[in-house]
Amino acid sequence: MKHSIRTAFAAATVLISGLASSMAVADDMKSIAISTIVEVPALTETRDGILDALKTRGYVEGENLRVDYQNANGNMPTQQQIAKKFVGDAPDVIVPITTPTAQAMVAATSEIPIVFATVTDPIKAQLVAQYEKPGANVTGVSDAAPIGQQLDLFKELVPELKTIGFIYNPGLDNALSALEVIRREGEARGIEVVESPSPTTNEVIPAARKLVGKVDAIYVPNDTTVVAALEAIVKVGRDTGTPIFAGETGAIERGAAASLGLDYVAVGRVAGNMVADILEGANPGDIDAVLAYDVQENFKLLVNLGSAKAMGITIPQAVLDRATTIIE
Amino acid sequence: MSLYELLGTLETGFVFGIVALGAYLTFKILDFPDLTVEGSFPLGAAIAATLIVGFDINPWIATLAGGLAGFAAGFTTAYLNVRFNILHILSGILLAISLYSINLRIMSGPNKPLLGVDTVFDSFVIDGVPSYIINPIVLGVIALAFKLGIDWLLSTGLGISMRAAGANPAMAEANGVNTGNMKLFGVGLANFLTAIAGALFAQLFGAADAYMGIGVIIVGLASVIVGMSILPSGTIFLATIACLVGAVLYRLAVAFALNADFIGLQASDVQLVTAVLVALALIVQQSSFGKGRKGKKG
Amino acid sequence: MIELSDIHVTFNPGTPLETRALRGVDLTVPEGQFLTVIGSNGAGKSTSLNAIAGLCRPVQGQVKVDGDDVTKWPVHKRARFLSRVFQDPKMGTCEDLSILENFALAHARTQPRGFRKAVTAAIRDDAAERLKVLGLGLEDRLNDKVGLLSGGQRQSVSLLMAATGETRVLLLDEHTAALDPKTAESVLTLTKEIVSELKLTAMMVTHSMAQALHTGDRTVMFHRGKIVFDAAGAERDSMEVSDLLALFKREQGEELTDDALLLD
Repeated sequence: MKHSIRTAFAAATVLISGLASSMAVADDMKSIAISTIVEVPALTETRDGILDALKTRGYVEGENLRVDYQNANGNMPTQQQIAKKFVGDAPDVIVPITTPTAQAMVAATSEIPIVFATVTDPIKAQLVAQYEKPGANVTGVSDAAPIGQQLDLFKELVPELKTIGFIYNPGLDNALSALEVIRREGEARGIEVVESPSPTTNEVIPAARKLVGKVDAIYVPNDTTVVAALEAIVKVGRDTGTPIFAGETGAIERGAAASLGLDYVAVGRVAGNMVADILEGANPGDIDAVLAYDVQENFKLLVNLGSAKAMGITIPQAVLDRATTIIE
Repeated sequence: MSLYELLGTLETGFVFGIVALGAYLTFKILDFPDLTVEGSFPLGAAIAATLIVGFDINPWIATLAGGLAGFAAGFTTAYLNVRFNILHILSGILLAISLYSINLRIMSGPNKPLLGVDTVFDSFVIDGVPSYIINPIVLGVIALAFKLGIDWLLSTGLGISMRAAGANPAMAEANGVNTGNMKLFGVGLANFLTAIAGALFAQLFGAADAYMGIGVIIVGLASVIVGMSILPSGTIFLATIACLVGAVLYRLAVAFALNADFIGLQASDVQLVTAVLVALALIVQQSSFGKGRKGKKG
Repeated sequence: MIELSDIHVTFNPGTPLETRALRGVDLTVPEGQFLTVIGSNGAGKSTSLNAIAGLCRPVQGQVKVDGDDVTKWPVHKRARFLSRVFQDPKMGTCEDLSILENFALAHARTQPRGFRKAVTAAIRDDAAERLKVLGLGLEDRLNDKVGLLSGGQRQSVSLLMAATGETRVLLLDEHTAALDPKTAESVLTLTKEIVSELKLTAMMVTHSMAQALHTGDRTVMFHRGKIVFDAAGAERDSMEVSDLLALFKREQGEELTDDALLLD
């Protein structure tokens, strides 16, 4: 018994001394706190872009900028503690990457400026009320899929593209949002969207087959239920010569013919510039939140030559020249 | 560490103290390792969030509803084990897996934001006192209330039956205890607690998220183990205190990892830190005493 | 009181390990009788007890207690009128609970359990009184966890617990076998006292022929899943262990080679 109390005291002493000696912030240094829920390439690229933009604007980590970067490793309670830590440390700007991280930060403080990055739908996540002059302490950049630019690419590959099929899970909010966007963007380009709902992964193949012959191409949005059966959709496309296009770039190596994606470093740069503006005195509520695809010019373009051929697509040289990744 | 962060650690600590009470009930009292909690924690969050945001239901009622859903989940796990003889660990896993899909359905997506809506914490707004001081107190009181409730339950006829059913099922049956029913009620109750904790956490965190449950069982168990190794826990009253304290200590360890750049630790090392902490606690438990544990005076 | 009709119990049916433990057992135990049961290992004596208690289901036959057909009743349902003491002293009490809590558990055997406080002053007084009889000082250690007691003490407590409530039947499964001779003797004496005082119907399985003949009113012997010998009253009183052996040989035409039965 005495032994365990002794050990407990020892542990407590280490804890306390450790905490006491940590983190004294120099007054002349600016400080930002970045956090992400997990680390995957898109998110670390975002972070790199943020720091890169700040450097360009004259804020260099270690010299005149303190950066506290925390990865929650997929663990929500840890993310919660990170949020508390950030607010307690009172940095000049908090930069959450991904939606759950941003939600935790916004719930934790309504005073410290927050610039979110790589959040798909900040309005649905209730981070901002509207994109233009959000008004509170939150702004940032959304990585919503560049559906308009994607449709433009698809038209380049299939010049007679007039109707496009859309397979989706009607029970998923983000699929419904994507449907709204593609209808809007399609209308602006004279493309009609034909829906084919598939509530579970098992109904994806019939949903795909239903579209064959009725549409010039099929679009697979970033919908986990449908993407799970991507290979099956690709097979339908190859068997019937129907082009299969995807909303997310990871689908190309799995067989979809082409896609257009965001350059996540560039997404990060947009956020980084917002952070620099705030460090220089701007009010986050006055900075418009943006959709990355609205402010980006260079996108990642991926094509799968083998699939394209089987689906009856001839890829113009201009597209091949611009392609960032070509899969045989 | 700032006071703000310390108080935040207490908040999360008390929430997971409730989870630890549930783990105590299943692992220690009923001898029924229950993995359902990976699913029932986010289930409570999902139900509460959907009711608050989509149906404008009072957050207290929504939280309670989440708890009842958790009870149903735990009950189902125990039912699979009692009625169909499916191994308890498997039953729990089956439920946790199913609940992932169910939670997606409930929230019609992987995430339901809880920003800008009424939460249970809004009932305790006092002018001039910041919420980061009030919330830990509120959660502490709630955790304490559940602890005392469990203490009382385990001293009743029903509670003694549950304890016997877990410790010596044959003897319990011979004394008229329907051990099957004890499991149904006990595992249900444990998941009721876990789901309530999930609902409370979502209201703190700002969202209900389908991935919230990952790692919850480890946290719950680690809290119970650490608490019961370091503190005297010879009686039920003491043991449940140990669970709450263990949960807070665990969260302190995480906070330590977050602030420990001075020895090069990062947040991603949290897993290692907690593993080391649990190992230390187990070693302490081994070395101080062999079998004499149970008769300890306080 | 207890009626076994054509009971057949088979373990692992249809597999290479199939064992026909009871092959057609008929046994009627009138109310208030103290029956002792002997037999070599695997003869079926414990199995017959288990069939009455509900631990194993017969593939054929009926178990009736006090007129009720309990063949399909689960163990805890039968516990209303039936108590058991096991051979393993650790089995009869719950070591994580205190002596008092164990008594509270046993006390509620015949009543529905609810949210009332388990350990009441009445139960405390009752337990203290019962424990006084043992003369071991346990009535002063009511809050000690049972795990701290010795095997003999635990077995005595189990026995006392079995006597609580409105038990009408007491099943004893070699309950002195794991104890040292002196403790075994005192537990056996206590058993006889309890059975006669509460007028219980009792069945005691024992591995000792001498103990079987000198305890209770009637003795049956199992062999290979059947009852091969049944004596009571005057007939039994005049028998010695050697007589039993001779009887057995005559009935079965076999040599009884199980030493354990002879040495006690």
